[in-house]
Amino acid sequence: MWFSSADAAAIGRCLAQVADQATDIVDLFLERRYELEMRSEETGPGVVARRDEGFAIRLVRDGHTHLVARDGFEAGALESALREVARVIPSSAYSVPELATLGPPEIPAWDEFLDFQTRVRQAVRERHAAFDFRVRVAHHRRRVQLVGRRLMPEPETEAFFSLACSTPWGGFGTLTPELDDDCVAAVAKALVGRFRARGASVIGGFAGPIVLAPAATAVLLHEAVAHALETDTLVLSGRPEAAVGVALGSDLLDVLDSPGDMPPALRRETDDEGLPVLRRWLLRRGCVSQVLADRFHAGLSPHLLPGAARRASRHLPPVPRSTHLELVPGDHDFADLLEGASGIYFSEISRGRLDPLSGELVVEFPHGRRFRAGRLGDWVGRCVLRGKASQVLSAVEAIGDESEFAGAGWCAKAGHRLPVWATCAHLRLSGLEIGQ
Amino acid sequence: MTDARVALDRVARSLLAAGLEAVEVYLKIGRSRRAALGSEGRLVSLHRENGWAVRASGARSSLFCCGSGELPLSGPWPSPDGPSLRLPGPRPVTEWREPAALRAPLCVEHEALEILEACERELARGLPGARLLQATLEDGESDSQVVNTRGVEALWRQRGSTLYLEAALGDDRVIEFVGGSNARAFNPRALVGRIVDRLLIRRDGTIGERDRGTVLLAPPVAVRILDALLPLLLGDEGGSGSGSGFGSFMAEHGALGSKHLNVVDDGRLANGLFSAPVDGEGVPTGKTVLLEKGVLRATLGHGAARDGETGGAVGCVRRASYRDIPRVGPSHLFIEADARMSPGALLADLSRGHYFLDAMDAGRFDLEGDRFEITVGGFAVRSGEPTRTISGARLSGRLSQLLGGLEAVARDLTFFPLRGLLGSPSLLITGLDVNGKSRF
Repeated sequence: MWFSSADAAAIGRCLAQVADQATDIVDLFLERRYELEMRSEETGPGVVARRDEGFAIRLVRDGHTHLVARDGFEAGALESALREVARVIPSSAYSVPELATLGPPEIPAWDEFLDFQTRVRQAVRERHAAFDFRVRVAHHRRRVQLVGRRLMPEPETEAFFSLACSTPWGGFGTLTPELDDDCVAAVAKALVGRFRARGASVIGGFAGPIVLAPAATAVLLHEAVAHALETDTLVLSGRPEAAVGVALGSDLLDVLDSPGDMPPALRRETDDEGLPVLRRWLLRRGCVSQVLADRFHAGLSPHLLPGAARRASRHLPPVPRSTHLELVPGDHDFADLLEGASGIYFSEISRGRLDPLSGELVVEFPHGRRFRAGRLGDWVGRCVLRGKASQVLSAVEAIGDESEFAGAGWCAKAGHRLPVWATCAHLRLSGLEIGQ
Repeated sequence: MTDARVALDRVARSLLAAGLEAVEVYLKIGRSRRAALGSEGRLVSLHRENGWAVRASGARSSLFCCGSGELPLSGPWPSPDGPSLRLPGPRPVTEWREPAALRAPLCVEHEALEILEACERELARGLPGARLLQATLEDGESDSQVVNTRGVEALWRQRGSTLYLEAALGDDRVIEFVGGSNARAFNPRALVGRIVDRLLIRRDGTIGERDRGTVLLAPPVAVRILDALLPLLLGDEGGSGSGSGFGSFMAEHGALGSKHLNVVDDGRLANGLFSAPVDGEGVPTGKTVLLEKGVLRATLGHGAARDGETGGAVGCVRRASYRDIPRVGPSHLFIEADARMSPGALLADLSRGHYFLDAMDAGRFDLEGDRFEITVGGFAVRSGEPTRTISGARLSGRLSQLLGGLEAVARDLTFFPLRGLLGSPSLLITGLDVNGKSRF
């Protein structure tokens, strides 16, 4: 067992004592994370390191969830947590093994941190721009392990970098598995975009075609498809399984959630409830094929498949969330998408939100570029797209032929801050209004 | 709890090799219970927190490390980098009488659930058809210690509760989020009453007509103004220079607002959620007048930056948790109320204007451009009586007019957990636009 030399089977037996009803869900979630952040602020600290470890035991019975979470692995902690979650004082003590991590975490190498900002500055200069900006880089590592009554999957690990950049014209943030040359180029492009668009005109109202870059497509699909099809959203307005078969968007859209198809540092075999992840078709030809469910919500209907549970921390219960959205590419190259009437090209979305009750979608673009007859032209300033999620998804009229692993970011729905990833292509939409 | 002074000696020795001479150790243990009703059914959880944080600085580099479990007395520590940081020196702690509520036990499971279920019942009774989407009660207590190599040594206890309610009627959704020192003091009937009022305004209201004149802002709307002013009150960390549009107004008029505008930060507010004898760096807290009769008297700042100074407020460095870097921020920041004036009396004296109860968004406040707008809901008022329900109206104007046009404050001071606990009573303000042209 990764977290301890203790006998996992013994832990499973203890959990089985707590879950004495056939439908009970009981599990032990072990978590260990390490974050190292390099800051470039004017005041200290210059380096921030966070190490966090602990465990939680969860018991779900008759629609009630009891969760006990602890920081660290103190002697006797597992035994007392089991008593608290079972809310009984057993006549004979649980024979519970002790938990312990295997030594302190390794501190990641600094080299790529230290020269990242320099590389971005150089890439900005190569784009013939010079301006003041700051880059904050953090390396995140997390290892989790789940032990259930019968389940004991392998531990899961994830490692990635987060970037938070600030310029006088707004911030830019992203997640990346590596600080490679592609990442440097993408960050430099985003920063230079803010610089070039700094004095750009503001759009009063625009109703022509728009083209979204893969990173912007990812955010749009995350809000309009993933959040819309999470069972904790669907349950607010009825039975989650009733969504299956509903036409949510254009028949060009094939979208799936595939946590197992990411780069090795992020790839998942199991979700945060220890169940195998699926290549889960969310939309097939624009119609809802499956929804995102965890064990709790899957228990509400035999039509729902669990395996999409994520935990932002041991202190929070699992929730159904997407991990890695994939849009099946179309057959249009980028030049095709920019053909025809004058439109606006958006490389990024800075923020998006979906109202879970009304289905109202709002996405904000930090800037864009006008296009006409296949050529990109003037910059435009910050603008907003508003509409029902289904209306926006129905406006898709073409999909690019090249997918990119792009558009990753932090999702903070309902206070669960989780990294989300996507592999998407360009998207062309028409009939929507862009405004302020 | 570990002896922080002993831990500091060991940690300081292990960091000395990296050239870090100034060291601070922070230790925290806490316990909290959370109860929730929502899309995940009923949830009850119990959390034990056991964390530490170390800040250290040398001449040209510094670091902040934190973690859960036992403090690793001899590291390993990452290599320090970046600028140095300053730790505060010791200051005398004025007498602190620990409120009895600090020792009150946490809500037990059935008490916590009963508060939430009472909210559910009150909503069903008060507004049939409305739904409680999410209700979460958190009740917690903690003991913290901070010591540093400059001689600061402090130990304090905190106790706090929050209640989050999210309700819907059709597609309209409202949130009430309140905080206090004791969960048992939350009043489900009063809280749900506010939710019902807001949902009814949204259901029945129309955007109303364009108007300009006097408005009475209830605390949930008024507190947004205070939230917007925070950059001006945070001193060097606020980032708002005197060259801004609003700064020019201050320079010209010698004041930020009218004589009725008094803003106070009080780290020892009786029954306050964040009340403590010291702040997150171990510097004594106190009551500081930041704005007096509209004139800026002080800003909030780091104890270290103000060592030896007499002006400016210290004791206002907050740690949201042991994982967070200590930052200057308000504890209980509020617009002072007028105990003689009831909101009803202000409303009765309003011959023609609007009474806005609901902030329907966070608003846009531009200190640089001296402008603001916020979407609000409430009532049109004639001769002190509501005549029409208003929902989705745009209240806008110049920020300087918003503060300069403050004519009276009521006694209904109410706090909201925003960036710290921010509070405001109802405010009567003249010269603002309702549904005027957008200034953004």
